Amino acid sequence: MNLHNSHSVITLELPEMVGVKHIVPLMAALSQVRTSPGDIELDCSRVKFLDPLGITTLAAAVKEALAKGRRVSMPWLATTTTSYLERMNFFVDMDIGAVDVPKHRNRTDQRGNLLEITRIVESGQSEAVADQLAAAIVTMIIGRGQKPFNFQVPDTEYDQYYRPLRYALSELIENALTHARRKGAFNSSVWVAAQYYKDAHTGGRVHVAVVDNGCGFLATLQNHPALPEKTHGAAIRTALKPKVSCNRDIGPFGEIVNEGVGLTTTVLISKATGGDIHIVSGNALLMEGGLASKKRRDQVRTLQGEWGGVAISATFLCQNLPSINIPKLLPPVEPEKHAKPLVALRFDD
Amino acid sequence: MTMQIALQQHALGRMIGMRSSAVPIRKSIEQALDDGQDVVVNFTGVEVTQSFVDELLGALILREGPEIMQRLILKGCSDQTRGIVRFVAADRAEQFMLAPH
Repeated sequence: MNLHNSHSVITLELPEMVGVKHIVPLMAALSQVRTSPGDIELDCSRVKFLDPLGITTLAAAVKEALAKGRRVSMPWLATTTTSYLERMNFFVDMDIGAVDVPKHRNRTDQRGNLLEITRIVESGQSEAVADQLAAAIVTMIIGRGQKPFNFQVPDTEYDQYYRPLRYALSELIENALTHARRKGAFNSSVWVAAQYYKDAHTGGRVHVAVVDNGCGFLATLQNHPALPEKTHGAAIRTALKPKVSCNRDIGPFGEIVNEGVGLTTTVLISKATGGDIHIVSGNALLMEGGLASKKRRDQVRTLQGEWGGVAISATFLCQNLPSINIPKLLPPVEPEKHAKPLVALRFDD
Repeated sequence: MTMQIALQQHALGRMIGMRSSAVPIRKSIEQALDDGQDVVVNFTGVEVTQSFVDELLGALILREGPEIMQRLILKGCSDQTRGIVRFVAADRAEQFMLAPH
């Protein structure tokens, strides 16, 4: 909500739940943060909770405003919330006013046992980010880390949780890196965060968010024959169809291609565990799985603001992670429609 | 002559997931194939994503055709990895066959 606008300072109010639960007012506020022509005061007096989607979208929006030379302040942020955001590495490289963060503090690198927010600016970082986050989550779920590797002993308890989470994180980050920097958005970044929520009843829940500030699905798919109409909602739905991609064919210079399956499979992994998915791109929000299915509410909503880029939130119920069979979630191939096998593979045990 | 590639040397943790990780490995495979060697890709102890396999093997099939897979031996694949490799290979082989050549 825009409270007032004076002397080139715009005052915006963050919702109580900065994340999926209050995603509509959150996106309305962050849309203005990213496009404000003046300085920004983010009133945090109501903020009680931030989830990974909230933290990543907030970080991306504030970083963008700061990069444009705007000053950003976050008054009335509770001490406990400030402390949590600092532990999550939120304030690194961001000079935000009206927040009581110790200056020049030597921060211990907590990657490996804490789920810090991470900004990916080049694809070379992505493998390590996905591995560190997945390893930290699994350590929280099962209460201990992976023992030193013995590559001859696959499928430990650790692996059964690590595999689907690492797979999902890798594919979400891959999808963001593939799409975000198209159509001239060369300076876009990807933010990743995760959180594990204990719950004795369900065995706990993992929440992952991967957010970019790139060009969004509609820009990359606008000329794709599978796109039924040029709206952000249709673009999100189309991006979720298997084998739909902006670059499924090999490029003239051998550039990286895309099979159009990674995002679809990740959504199916989340839903197979009983989790849910929220995807924002442009002015559209798509919800799938979890409560979105049970309440039978509209799965695609139009937002007041716009998110330039793609913001994805995925949850996974931990108790169902070990039963995930990833190949079964891949789209079917139809070899029966061909007279002979399409390809012969030489497997050797 | 056969070239051996152990993916565990390229893995962080138990999995290799990103396309960017597959590119240098695929280039090594392409060089070996150009030199007339066959290639053994050893997956032992390593899980993979569909994107990684597509960049490693799918791109080869798209360029050279499905017959190229006769020169590759895929060793030590878990059941999940086999399923992912089968999907990628069939999908890209179909795409290759449907494309004008």
